[in-house]
Amino acid sequence: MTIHDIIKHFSSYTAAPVDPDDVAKQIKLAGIRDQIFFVEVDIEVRVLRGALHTYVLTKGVYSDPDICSDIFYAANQSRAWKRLVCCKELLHILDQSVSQTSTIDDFDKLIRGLCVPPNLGSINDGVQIWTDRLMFYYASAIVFPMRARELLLAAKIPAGQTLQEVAARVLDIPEPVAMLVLSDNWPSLYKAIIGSK
Amino acid sequence: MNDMTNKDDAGLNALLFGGESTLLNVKGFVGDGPFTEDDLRHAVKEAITQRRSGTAHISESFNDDAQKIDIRAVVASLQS
Repeated sequence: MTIHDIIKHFSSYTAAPVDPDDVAKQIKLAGIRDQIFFVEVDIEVRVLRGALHTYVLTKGVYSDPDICSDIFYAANQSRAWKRLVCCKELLHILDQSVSQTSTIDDFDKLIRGLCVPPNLGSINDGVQIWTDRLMFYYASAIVFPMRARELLLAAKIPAGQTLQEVAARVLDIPEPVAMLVLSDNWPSLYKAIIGSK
Repeated sequence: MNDMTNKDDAGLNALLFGGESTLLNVKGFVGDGPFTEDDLRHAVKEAITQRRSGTAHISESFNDDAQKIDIRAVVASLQS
């Protein structure tokens, strides 16, 4: 099972909100044996909403090492943002080795890259940072499934409300994600990153 | 200031690359800003420190207590 298969799995979901535990379950079904921990931390949400930290933990000379993936998320943000952050960071567990940040140089590059707004990014930022940016779109596709998009686009929206507001409320997702997925360009972007509709 | 930044870097590198664990991957979801590289390094260091010291809330489940809603039912109610 690939990351695309996981997104396709959620594409037909009509029950909302999508639970990060369900995403973790799919990742385990993809053959990942990591111990996954959700870690709520008190950090400045203006700086960092969340992070993934995957490491090998060696407990002793005679015990097998454990692979642990800590999914960090800032406590001081809405449940909707926490879900999105956790879904994105969970998907990074599936990063190919070339996309992983595992050396001091990689880490320095990642930090520098994360400080650059995506619209100002360049191809020289490296595969780690581009994977990081791409994963936001993958996570958006999971928390706002394609089937839910189709249903909401056909809905009669009450006067005084926008489709984006209704979608964000019903799916319990951040409004920027509702705006992104409801945009006219989303189906072609989705097709480009997932491979098919 | 440089001294402080260097100490912070050394502390973060020790958390990520030292001790009994071997780093495989790190990724991040940044906030809306504004922030600097040092702010970001400090936030990563803070998160890992809280996890290691046991002050963070750690669970094997996200524990989502939100009630699931069927979008089809919501759309049907909007039509009526």
